[in-house]
Amino acid sequence: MRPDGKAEGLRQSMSWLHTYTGLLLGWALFAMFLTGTLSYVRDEITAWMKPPVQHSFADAQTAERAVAALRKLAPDAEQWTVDLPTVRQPAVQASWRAKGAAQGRRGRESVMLDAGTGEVLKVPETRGADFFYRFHFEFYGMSVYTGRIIAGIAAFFMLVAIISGVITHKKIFTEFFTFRPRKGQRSWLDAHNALAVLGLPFHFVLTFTGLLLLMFMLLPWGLDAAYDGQRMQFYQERRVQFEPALERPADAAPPVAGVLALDHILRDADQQFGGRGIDSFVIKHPGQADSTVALRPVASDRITDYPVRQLFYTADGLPLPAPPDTATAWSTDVYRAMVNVHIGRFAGPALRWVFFLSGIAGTLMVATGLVLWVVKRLPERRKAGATPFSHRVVEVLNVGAIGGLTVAIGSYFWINHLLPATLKDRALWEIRGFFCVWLLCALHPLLRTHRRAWIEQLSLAAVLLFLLPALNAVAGGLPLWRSLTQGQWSIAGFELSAMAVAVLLAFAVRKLRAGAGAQRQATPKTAAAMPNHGVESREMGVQQ
Amino acid sequence: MAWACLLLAFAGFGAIAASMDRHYEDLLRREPAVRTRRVLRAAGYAVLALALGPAIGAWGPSVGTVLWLGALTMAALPLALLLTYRPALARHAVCAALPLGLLAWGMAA
Repeated sequence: MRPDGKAEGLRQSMSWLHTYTGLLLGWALFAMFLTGTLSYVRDEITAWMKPPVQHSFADAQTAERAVAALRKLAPDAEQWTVDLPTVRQPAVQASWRAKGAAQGRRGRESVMLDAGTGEVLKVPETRGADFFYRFHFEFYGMSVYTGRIIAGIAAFFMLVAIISGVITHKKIFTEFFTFRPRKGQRSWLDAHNALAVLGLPFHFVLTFTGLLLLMFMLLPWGLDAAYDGQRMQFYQERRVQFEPALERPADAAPPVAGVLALDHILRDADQQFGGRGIDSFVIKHPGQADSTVALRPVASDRITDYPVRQLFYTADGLPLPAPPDTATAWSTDVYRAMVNVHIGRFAGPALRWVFFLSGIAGTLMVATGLVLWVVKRLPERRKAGATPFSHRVVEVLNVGAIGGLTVAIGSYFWINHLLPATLKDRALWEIRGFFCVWLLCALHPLLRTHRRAWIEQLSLAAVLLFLLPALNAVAGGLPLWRSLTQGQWSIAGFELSAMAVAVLLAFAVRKLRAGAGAQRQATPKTAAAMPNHGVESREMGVQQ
Repeated sequence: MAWACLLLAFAGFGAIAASMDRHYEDLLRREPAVRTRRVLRAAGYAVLALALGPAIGAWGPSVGTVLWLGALTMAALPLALLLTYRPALARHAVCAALPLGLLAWGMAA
């Protein structure tokens, strides 16, 4: 790329590669990182988005209550599933499969139960954080296949950007902890580097494993060759469910229909799981003599577990043989470990916080990279005295993608709490509202100067997020002071985190405003002479 | 145990930072001898490795390693911010992190 035609060094060419892979897919990657990060706290967000759920408090009898409710709701079902309250969400999800119902999710009916009373909760229809989860690898409004292909390509570019970024970074070790504030481009570069290098294990593994999750879609040919084009057969073979043999010890009493030693089973299983707690249990053929119970723990102690190891009992409480530690191929183990790290299903609270905060760091890394593209080109622009069209496009897209998505997510929570509970297609309207807000935010920077657009959108996002606890308190949720005093940590955690993010956004706004003020005082003449947005963006570079 | 891992990682990175050109002044207030630097760096890496102990102790080798990697990030980011904005506090925090980390590990074990 050198104008004099001489060969480029490795670092220069990698720098070019890093800049443009990062820029081209940066906006999509920002959205994927942010919504993906929110997926780590999917249960918590979804619980918050269903206000009646927030008032549910579990106690020692919750499991019994859930089963009693299922006896009433679906006495003749083929199987019952009880998702118990966890530290991540406080209500019970009770679901069942009627005899002869369709396979998979379609044949499943489910309700939310109050963990303290066993009553069915009237939960407003919402996609909750599942919307973010799906969006982070399928986007929206296109076929699942197209969405995943785009996500796969973006993840591939991300991997290229990470590797080329490491090669480009000249002083990875001497500047390991370095951040120099108030030095314009230098500060943005430091922030970008620090977030990238310090979170490197996470960024690399998450991007790589994200690609692995989409592997069979992006590179299906090996699969096609081995299975003669019958892809579904491969997926079905992988989804084998373990069925324990119903072998009762010879000296055990014969099984009696209608017996369910739930308390004993739960206590024994919890002990077997090392006290991590029970996440859910499935009762097959409830009320019959051959009824069995399968239980899953809240978190796992092995990252190769997929699906999470279960325990099996007969309904009267005799342990059944657990699935053997099948000697899977090491490649399968590696694949599972990788994929599970991405999904983080095994993560307990500590590790979940680590994943969540690392995800935020990754999101900020992408955002600082995008801003850096603009800031780095300010001297060039200053020399020319005008803003090239391409720079303006990047500026507008930056605000619309970074500020806009943040505002849209905040609005999604507001829309969720403000729409009437019985509205038809309620969940769909929430999503429509989300995209309408995002679209407006994408158009807004066209009408404003670069700095003003940032200030306005980040301020709006800060206000929306900071007031979420107030909104929740008046819209039928559990007020923050009660969730704190009564130990409803999923709800309190969500609201405090939202407020913390709002404070950070407000801090960014303050910096932006201070920069604008200082610049106006220092150089009133130049400011008047320059095209407006050019000056505004230049200040950003100088002051940040 | 997560705290023990985090504190030890913080202490380890602190020692590594103290051996670096850009940061020794904030952390040690004087230029260390070449030998001291080498010792600091080696000790830093050793403490980082030590932080793997409580993580594996509580979560087993596979989940523990993931948590340890995450804790490294979670420890390094605040250290970088402290070195920038509150270097004096960074010095105290690094000094306190090692005994506190060991204490947290000892209490949990």
